[in-house]
Amino acid sequence: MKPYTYILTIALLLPFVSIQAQCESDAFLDNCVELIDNYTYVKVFNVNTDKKTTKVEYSSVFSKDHEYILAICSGTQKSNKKLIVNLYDRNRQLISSSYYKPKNMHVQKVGYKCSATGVYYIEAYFEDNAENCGIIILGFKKSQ
Amino acid sequence: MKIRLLGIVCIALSTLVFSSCGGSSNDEESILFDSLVNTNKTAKVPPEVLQKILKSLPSPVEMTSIIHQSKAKFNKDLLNPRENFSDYTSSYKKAVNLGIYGTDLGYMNIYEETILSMTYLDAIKSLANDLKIGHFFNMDVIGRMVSNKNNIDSLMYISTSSFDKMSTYLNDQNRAHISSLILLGGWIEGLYLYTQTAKAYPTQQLKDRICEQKIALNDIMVLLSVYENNPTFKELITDITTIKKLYDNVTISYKPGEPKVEIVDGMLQIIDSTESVIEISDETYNSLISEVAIIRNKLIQK
Repeated sequence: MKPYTYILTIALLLPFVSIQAQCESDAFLDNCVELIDNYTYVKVFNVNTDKKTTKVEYSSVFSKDHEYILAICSGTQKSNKKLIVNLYDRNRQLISSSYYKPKNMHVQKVGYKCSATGVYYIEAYFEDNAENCGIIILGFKKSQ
Repeated sequence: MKIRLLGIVCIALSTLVFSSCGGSSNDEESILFDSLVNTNKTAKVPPEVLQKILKSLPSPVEMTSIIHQSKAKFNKDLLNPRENFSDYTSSYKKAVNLGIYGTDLGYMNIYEETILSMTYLDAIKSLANDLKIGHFFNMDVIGRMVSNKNNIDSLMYISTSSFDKMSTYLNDQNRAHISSLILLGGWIEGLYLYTQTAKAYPTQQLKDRICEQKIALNDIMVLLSVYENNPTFKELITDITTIKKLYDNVTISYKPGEPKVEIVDGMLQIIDSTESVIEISDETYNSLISEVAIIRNKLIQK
């Protein structure tokens, strides 16, 4: 293969790579972390959906007397569909969702005042099961 | 397909780049360690499953923040001495102690012991370089932040996210055994700091946080089961199983309640009235404090 063929191949493939790279870049994380305000950054959960994997689930232990925040940021290069995050308790009972049905609105920040230590499940997917990428940042602070 | 191909090319390139700057004197041992792990059960566990287990473990930053909230004073004697790092020659010790130093770094940062934490950065960078993950620590940026105490939140964020990115990278590189050891080391150090602080500053909050680790331990046992046939993990599994047996005597029960949801300034706020109640006997609690110290002190030895 001649050198220009390599360059051409890389140039053609770059847009495909940048779709996922957008959500995995430091800039994307740094931007999203602004949403957690006065909460302490704990960790980031990556969300990458495709035709095969339309939904992802993570778990985390939340402690009593602490407030948690889930900051939700979705990539924009592939789709404009919203990233929906559902929070479940240790018995996998839905606590709430970033899609607030009564007002038919999506929120970017979900705060949870925890009074029961336990495993909590964080489920994430895009509207209409769209293929896209995003991140969920978990932050925490002590309850006042 | 094209993306996959380019992904493989990128991984190959990055492997070449990073392997050339590792500077480890233990390459042969690393290869042996990697092959030992990969010949066992690990290969059967999908990376995404391992990643989920690793992500579920408590973050050292959360553990050390809770110590700070307890109003306990900073205790330098609780740290793994910085000079120990040069004694760690195996990949196992390097990875476990990288996790231990990572938690210590969080402990120092949260107490704004920035000058002391600066001296630990070299140790962390060195161990990370030996494990070929040193590129996750931008020492120039961290150094600048350490010199300015107003940047403590940013420093906490950069340190924590560096460990977070490192763990994801290791998993993507099929080196999840290294990230597992780093996280296990970090968790044990967090538990050690909790228990030792609780000994000096006994508060109900710290006691509860110590007992709550029973829940995290369930995930840790799942993680360790991945490596149960691996001789390298044998001693660690035995030690953590000892802690698990003590935690089996801790009871966590729940009083059900209903969550209330409202939107405040664009943020969905959930206030849950479900309550957890923790019970532990004094005997179990004291045994737990002693056992954690024994295991942690064994891990920081050569």
